[in-house]
Amino acid sequence: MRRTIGFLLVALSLGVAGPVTAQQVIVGNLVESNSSDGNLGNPRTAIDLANPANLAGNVAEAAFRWSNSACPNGIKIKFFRRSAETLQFLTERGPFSTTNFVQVVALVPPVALQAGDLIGIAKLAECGNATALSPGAPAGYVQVAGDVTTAVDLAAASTVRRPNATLSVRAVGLASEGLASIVPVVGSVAGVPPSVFKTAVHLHNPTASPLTGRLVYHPQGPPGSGGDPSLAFTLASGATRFFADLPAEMGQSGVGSLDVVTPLGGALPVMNVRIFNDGGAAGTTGFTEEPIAPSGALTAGQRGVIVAPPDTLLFRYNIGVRTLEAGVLMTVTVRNAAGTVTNSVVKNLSGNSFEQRDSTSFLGFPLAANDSLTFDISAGAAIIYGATVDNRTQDPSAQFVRRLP
Amino acid sequence: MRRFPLALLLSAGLSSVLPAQTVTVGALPPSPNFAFSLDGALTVVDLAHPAPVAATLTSAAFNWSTAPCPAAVKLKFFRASPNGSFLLLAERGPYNVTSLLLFVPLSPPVDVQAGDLIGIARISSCGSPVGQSPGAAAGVIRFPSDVTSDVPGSSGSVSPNVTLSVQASGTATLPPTSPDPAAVVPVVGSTPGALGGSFFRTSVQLHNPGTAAMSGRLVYHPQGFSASASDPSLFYALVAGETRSIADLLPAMALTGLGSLDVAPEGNTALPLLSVRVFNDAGSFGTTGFTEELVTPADALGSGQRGVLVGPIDTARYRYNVGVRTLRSETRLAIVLRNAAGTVTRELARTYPSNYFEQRDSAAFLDGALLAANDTITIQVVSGAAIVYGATVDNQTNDPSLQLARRIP
Repeated sequence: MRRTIGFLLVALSLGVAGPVTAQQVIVGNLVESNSSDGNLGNPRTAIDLANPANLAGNVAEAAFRWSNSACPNGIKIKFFRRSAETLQFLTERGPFSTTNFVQVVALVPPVALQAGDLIGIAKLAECGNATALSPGAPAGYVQVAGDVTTAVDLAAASTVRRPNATLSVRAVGLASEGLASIVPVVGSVAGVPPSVFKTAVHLHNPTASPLTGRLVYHPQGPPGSGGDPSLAFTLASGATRFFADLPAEMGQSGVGSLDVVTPLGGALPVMNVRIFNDGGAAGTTGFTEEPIAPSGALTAGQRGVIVAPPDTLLFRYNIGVRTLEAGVLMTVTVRNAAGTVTNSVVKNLSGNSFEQRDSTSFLGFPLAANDSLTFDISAGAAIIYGATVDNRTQDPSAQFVRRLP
Repeated sequence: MRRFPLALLLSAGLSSVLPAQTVTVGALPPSPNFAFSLDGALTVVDLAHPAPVAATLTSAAFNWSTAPCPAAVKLKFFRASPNGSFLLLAERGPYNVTSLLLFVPLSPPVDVQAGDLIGIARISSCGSPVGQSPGAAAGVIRFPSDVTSDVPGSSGSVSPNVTLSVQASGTATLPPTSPDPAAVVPVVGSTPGALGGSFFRTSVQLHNPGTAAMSGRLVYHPQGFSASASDPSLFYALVAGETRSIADLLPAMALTGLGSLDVAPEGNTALPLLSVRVFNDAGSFGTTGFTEELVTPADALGSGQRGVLVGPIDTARYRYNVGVRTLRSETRLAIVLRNAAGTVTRELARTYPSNYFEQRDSAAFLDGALLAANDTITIQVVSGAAIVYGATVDNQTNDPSLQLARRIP
């Protein structure tokens, strides 16, 4: 239980976020396949559930792996929007022919997608099959008989689930929105009884024009995806909106990380995030956390340091990592207060993921008072912090790994 | 834990001003052909000829419609605020008009920033400012009074395509060499809180992340005063990779109270990494507090920049303080209070000396305005540079949180 309350931290920004610049919208995944899709006859449609669109935007190009490199007008690319157990059909492009096993096709006209939308691929003729990698993504894909142009009911007996497999089809294009900043950790979770931690958020529009965007919640553990829950916001000029417990208002519980997504060129709201233990009439204990621009993350070749608490009996210590798109490969070097290296460990975390663990679990060995932890990034990028929690009050503090000159 | 020797540190150097090229603000058109005809007091501001660079203005000249006119004229200097107001920087005079074109000293000289404006005021019913029409496209703005404080643009009348005949001259000023501290911890303290028997302390861990030894001083500036040579400091020296811990900084320096901390590395040594925790010490019941990071001068709000503080969600359950730490220059802030709907409920200005720190409760900071839940405070640095923060304290637990006013792009 201590781990759950230890996610709290005080964050000071690592970078000043500005308007977002061009980013790529991606839906699906062009994996190296090792099998064909299931045989539901001809025609049939397969829909990827594991790789929804990461951002809103217009996809203009698709690629897929097909089992036959010479199929005339045998394939369509389709797009769906998920609502609970229903996949609403959006549009399709094709039919396309294959001249290679990996076929790249233009989507004309481009297809406008929202974050979370899904891609599918239809086999129209008796010539080759869609392919997949198995084992693959846990969410897998689904198959439906026919050249689907209507909604798909995921609960229907006629819809065949293919979990732990990744369909090899992907579309890309220019996003119409982008990741503007990250709140590394948010939570709505019960801690050591009777503590209950919540995340209060103020959003303020400091500009003279209306401001829009989305808050996207990535739960701890799995890599972030376009299907993660989000909350759209609109703020009039100068207006401030308040969420008493943001994850709960998004229908979420637990610990996670928050993206602030804004339209390309759009302004960023001022955010005041407070994570606190809600003691009811006894009051709150917590801290203010600032969003961090993606440019504030440590990247390959960079180094930063945090310092463990001065007393490891009175305080416990957690380490949190939020990676960016490429994940992170890093070495953590631990020194004692005198500066002597006492241990080191290599960590490799996947893209757009978040995890916070107690320091011993994270490192594989315990820390001593006033130990320092040096993070050297070999590849990728990450926001890293250390969170100190007073064992008597459960009050947290935190220190972010700042880039050293 | 190793102990630090106490030492005094001479204050950081003061700003130095070096002469440069001649600078003019305003204009003297070759053929003035009209007079501003409004009766009574009048202030006219030239919108077309702002200061091109920061400068110290020492003299001025203007045309007047009638001579002689005793004690009839004042010269004024303004800064246009993004919210449309004109902030009065300084005025000189009254001057006696002894000829239709008059040259006068500005005593004491007037310091202006790039973009600042000059104006001229008629304070008696003798004569008027004059100008040339057609003239500069941006023209002038007229206020029907002797403007003696900040004034909203909406209370004036803009006249385009005219050139006001008033000009001040001086020399450009170069920025100071390097008087800013290398880094600042905006607030540190060892002091009783406002409510509930709270007592706030500041623990510090210093770490040397480099491969060479480093040394320097932590310089404490008490609240309510500019930095001075007599401010106390604490020497530090760290070998490569070393970490030192100070359980309560101010008592370690034989001090109490509330103040701000400079980090001053010696020679060419790098900045240490600091982990600073400000906390309410409840003794055996534990601590509640927050971690505070170093702020470099580059992270401060500079002239023309702004940031926003968001007030607490419940002003009965939380108290709210605002802290300001200035850097090398006297600093002027334009402050706008808005409610949650975005409506402006109060505007005011504050001026702070250089290298100064103070933290005040929000009502005192806002000249008596009471903060409502979810109000925002927009801080615009009109001149100078400052680190500004809002500190929320839970009245039940005395747990503090801190929000820095970060620069808005």
